[in-house]
Amino acid sequence: MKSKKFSPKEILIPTLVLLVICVCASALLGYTNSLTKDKIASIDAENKVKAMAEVMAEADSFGDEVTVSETLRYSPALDSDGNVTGYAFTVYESGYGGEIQVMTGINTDGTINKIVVLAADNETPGLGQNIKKDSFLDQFIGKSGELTVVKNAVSSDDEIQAITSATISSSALTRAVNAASEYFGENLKEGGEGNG
Amino acid sequence: MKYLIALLVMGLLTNNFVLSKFYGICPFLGVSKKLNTAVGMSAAVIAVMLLATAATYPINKLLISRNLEYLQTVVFILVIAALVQMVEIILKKFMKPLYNALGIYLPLITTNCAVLGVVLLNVEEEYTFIQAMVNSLGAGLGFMLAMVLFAGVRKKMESCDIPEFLKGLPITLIAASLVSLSFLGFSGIIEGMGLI
Amino acid sequence: MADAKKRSLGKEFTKGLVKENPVLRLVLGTCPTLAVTTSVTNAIGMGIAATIVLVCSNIVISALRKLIPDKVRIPAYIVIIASFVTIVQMLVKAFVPALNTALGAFLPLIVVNCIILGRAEAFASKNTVLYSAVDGLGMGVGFTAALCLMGTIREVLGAGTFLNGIQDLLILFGDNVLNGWNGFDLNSGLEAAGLQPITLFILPAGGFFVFGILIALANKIAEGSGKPKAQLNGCEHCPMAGSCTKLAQENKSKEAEA
Repeated sequence: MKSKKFSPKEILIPTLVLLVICVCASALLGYTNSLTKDKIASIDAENKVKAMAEVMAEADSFGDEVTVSETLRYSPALDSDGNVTGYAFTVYESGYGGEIQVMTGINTDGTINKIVVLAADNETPGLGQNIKKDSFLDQFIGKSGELTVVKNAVSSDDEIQAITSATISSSALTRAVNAASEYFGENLKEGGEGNG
Repeated sequence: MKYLIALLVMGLLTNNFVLSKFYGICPFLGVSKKLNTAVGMSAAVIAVMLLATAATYPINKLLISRNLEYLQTVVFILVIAALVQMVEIILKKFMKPLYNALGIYLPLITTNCAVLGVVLLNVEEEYTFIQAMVNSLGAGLGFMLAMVLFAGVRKKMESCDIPEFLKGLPITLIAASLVSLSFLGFSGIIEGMGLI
Repeated sequence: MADAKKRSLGKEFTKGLVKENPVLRLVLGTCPTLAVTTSVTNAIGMGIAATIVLVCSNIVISALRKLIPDKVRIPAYIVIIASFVTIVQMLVKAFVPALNTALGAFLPLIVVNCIILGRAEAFASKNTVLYSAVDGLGMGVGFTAALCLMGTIREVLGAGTFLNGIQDLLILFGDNVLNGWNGFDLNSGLEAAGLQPITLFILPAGGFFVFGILIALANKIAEGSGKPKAQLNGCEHCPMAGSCTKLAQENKSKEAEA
């Protein structure tokens, strides 16, 4: 190995130093990861619980989450006697810049109780992200069935006025709500027994 | 297929990597003075983006299977740095003309946040291999489009009478602002083409 | 290196604030500057995260400066910086989750923020630990200040709010440290006057515009005291300049001409 151009020292020492740095760095990262891992994992769940309590404020507790498809899940909202009073749907939908995540609370009669946007981080700040605002979301409250998005003033009950220059985000949110309503109408309506 | 086209159009126009997501601003401002350097730089970026995506995809799968996701940033940046060095050496040795055209931009690319940015986005959005490659291609082409358009704008600007106060970098940024504004006009294109 | 001890620590700190402000004078770290300044809260969060990474990596690199062989200098710096970035990212994810979602990919992208690698190469690799730490702190605070300035202009004009969502940042100190106060909202007042915020300012285009005007102002002030204008001439400021073939070629051709 002793060539004239490279002394082994010149190659070995830098490699070793770099290796030691990498090993130390990985060890440090592993340690931090073990400290923060559980906390990070619990945050999503906590947020979800908070949002559920908000969309079905009257509910006493929530049943186990049912996963219908990759983009649609729901939990039944229960009163103090364990009767189903409605459902909290979590729907994933593609928005303007990426995925949005919407939680819709639907009462047993099919009307929308309240909507919370769980994530819309890739929408444009100042435009698309305005779908998180109550002034937009309050339009949905009390409505049922399939809703359509219009750009101008609302002329009938099943219309939602889009946020100015954020039609795509507005319709994405409406599609998510419609998906929840549709699933509710087809599978969960009547009796309130369908929490399985 | 529709989704892939949507990804491409999004990277190119509606969510242009440079003008609406702010990745790779340094080369965008620094290397866009002349058209030929702008093209050279962006061609190098596209090549490295595609290579980096292809290289990091299996590595990421490996990291996830070992529960080592927290090493992603460290590993990816090292992979990109090594990749850039390797491409430079290979080009220098075997493809001299190509090296003369693109090679000089390669070292700059290691610290270009567009490349690491696209790799991290692919991981976060959990794209499949094909989707990740298409997304990287869209981002790279978007980078090129912005660079080429902006090189044209700067060429025109050379012969303009600019107030002393704004000469140099300020007017460049304001011109970038106007180019970015013009890209807002594309915002409906995805919906208009029926891609969502 | 030799005169390092003559300089005062105070000067090392303040140079990053004004004279060599990384954003407005050296024009470094432009990507996060433009991307996260849609609100002051995000700007502060980004600034603090970058400052922590900057100080830590400066300290470690400076402490190891005699041990790291010149050949593997850049990869070694990158590993050190990337580790601190990942640590900060994990801590933010765990304790200030709202900041993580707001900053998105720009949190891990602190790795390629030229300010950090630039300071490692230009300062920490040549100076003692204490000076490097102070230099990092000064640069970090300067970065944060510039981000806040831009964030303030963009948020107030573009969204009609100020410090909106500040509670999300302070969640570290408790769920309700501000007694339910979560930033000023000027929108109701604006609406009463028949006005609307200028949304353009929080759009990408507004970011470029505000940045351009701020650089122009900084230039004007610098000119008053006889300093040169801020420039971004290709890649002189780039931390990779030392190992860059493009610059080497340019220098060669310049020498040949001379």
